[in-house]
Amino acid sequence: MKLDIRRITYKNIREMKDLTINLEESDKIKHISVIQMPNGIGKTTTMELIRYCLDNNAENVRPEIVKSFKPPKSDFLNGEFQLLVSIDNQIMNIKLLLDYENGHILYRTNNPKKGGEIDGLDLGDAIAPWLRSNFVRLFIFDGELAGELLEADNTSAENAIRALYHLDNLKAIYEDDGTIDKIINQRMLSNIKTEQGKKNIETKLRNAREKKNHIEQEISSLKSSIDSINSQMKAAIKKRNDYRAEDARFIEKYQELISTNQLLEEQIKELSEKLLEAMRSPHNLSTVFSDNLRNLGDQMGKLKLPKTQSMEFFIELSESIECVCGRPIGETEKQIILENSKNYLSEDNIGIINIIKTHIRNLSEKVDLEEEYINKIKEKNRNIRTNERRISILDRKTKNKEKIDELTQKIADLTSSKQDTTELLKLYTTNKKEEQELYKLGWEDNLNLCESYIAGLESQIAMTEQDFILRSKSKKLKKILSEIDSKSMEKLKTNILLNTNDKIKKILKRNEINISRIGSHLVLDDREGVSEGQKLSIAYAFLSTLFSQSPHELPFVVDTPAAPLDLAVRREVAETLPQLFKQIIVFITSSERDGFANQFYTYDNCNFITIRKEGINLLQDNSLEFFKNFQSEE
Amino acid sequence: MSVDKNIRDVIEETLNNYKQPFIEEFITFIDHVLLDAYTDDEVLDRINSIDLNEE
Repeated sequence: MKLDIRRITYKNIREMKDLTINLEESDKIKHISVIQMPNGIGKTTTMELIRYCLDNNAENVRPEIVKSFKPPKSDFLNGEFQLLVSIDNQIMNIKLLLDYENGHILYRTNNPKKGGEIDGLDLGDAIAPWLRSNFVRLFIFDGELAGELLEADNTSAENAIRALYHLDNLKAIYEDDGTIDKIINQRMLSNIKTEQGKKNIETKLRNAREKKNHIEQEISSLKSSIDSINSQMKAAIKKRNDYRAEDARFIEKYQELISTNQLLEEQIKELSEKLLEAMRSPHNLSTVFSDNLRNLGDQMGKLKLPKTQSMEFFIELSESIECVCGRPIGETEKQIILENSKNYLSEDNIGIINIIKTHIRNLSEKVDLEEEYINKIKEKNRNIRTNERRISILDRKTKNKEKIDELTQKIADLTSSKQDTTELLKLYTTNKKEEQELYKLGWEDNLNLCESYIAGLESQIAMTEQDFILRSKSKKLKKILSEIDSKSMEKLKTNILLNTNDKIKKILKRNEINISRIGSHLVLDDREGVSEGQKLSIAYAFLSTLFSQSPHELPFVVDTPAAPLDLAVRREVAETLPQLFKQIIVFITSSERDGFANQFYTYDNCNFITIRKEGINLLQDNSLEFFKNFQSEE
Repeated sequence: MSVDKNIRDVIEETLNNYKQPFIEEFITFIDHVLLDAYTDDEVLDRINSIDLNEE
């Protein structure tokens, strides 16, 4: 990223009612801009507002701070600060709109790539990730940073490296409760998180499978019992019929009644099947439904859906050179035909409608289920009961009465036993939800419920296994990323340490100052402390090393950089700074000219700007002569 | 690709130590992370690409 600051414009901000500072000449950025202004005019304010322009933090500024930018003793409701920049050779204007009444700041950006001035700060997707507070304060230099870099309990040095190389983004991914953890937690399929939880589910599955085997054995045993009961019943019935046949007086009557009942049972079976078949046709169930269905059929019969009026016909027509009427079809006609074709049904839809019509037309006459089947079944059942009573009367008169009674009792007992066994089998096998609820059946009582329970547990285990694999992989990825982060930091720190010490040697020639290592802060060799000037020099050396190794070309903006430095160090810093940055913007007071600003007087590519207050007005002078001779009242 | 050479070397060295595949894809992923321009799906792809058998 290459960033230049071209112009700063103020409107109704503190002392600056209407002021523009140009940092370019004929579209070319001056390498150095020294802006001299007395204290209280707005050096710190300018630094603050430039930072807001770049770090997208202005909208979070507290209302009392915003209101403090209002010109003193004025009625202005709004202020405006503009920063004209070029980012990767693209000119953009950033505007801060300060609302003094409500105490907030709004952004507007003129980004040609976004089509002119827009609300908000939008310097482009490629730049946005770089411009964050902790990064911006490195080059829109926050003087407090110099001291922080050397403080033992401060992490500014490490943070500066992290910010420049964006390793803080990497950390946000792998740290606990960071991006990886959040994504993993969203993707977890099961709520089981421990090995013990997984084992508990596996135990449940084992028990459920054992129970299923037990139920299957029970079902098999019950089915065998029913088969056995059926055989016994068949044998008992045969034997009872044999005894009945032994009495010649009743043999014909017996045979007639028994065969009549067999015939009636067959007829009932046949009628029941027909009844079920008739019930499958919905129009037989309700007169209202039947009438409505026929009415729909009549209505559909009135619709004319010839094939030639299908949507496809018009689509084909639109592709033709001329219409069926002989007129030519141009692009306009084609679009009209295609648009109107949407009013017609497609051939698919016509086909479906025709099938429905045919089905309704072919519906049989409505059948009266009651009259046709149900009453007949009831009648035949009554006849069977009557014949059974007649058989029973004969049984009482026959010579084998006792044996027949005994067998009849046995058949009744077997019938009852079969009913009980069938009922028990139903409990084990029913898949009807209402029956399962009625008998309060659980997975331990019913085969279908047991199978569903097992399927649920198996699915839970499968999901848990997937989760465990995903969790293990994410844990390993976090470990790898953490290692990449720490090793990268170590490598970067080693390189930065060597280069920073080289620069310190050049700036502070007469002082034996050396950084022994970079931890969270810069650790100096065997020194109790350093002067303010030395702190600043170390900070410049450290930051310039950082930027010289980074892919960014950034301006360096600094407020009163030479005030705490003695004359010799001032000269060193003044000589060194131009070598470190492509654009330097320095706000100074007149006391910093000696030893510092005066080092640039012979330098061609340099702006010398003086901002001074005269009465209530702020005046600007851009000549070197004025700059040299200006004396503030301080 | 804007990953610093020092960081790129560290990524390659670390992935080789852990015998992990897809080094180039990993570097692209880190590039996106450093630019804060990654998606959740990219993170998930990286998680899934981790080989648990190799240490």
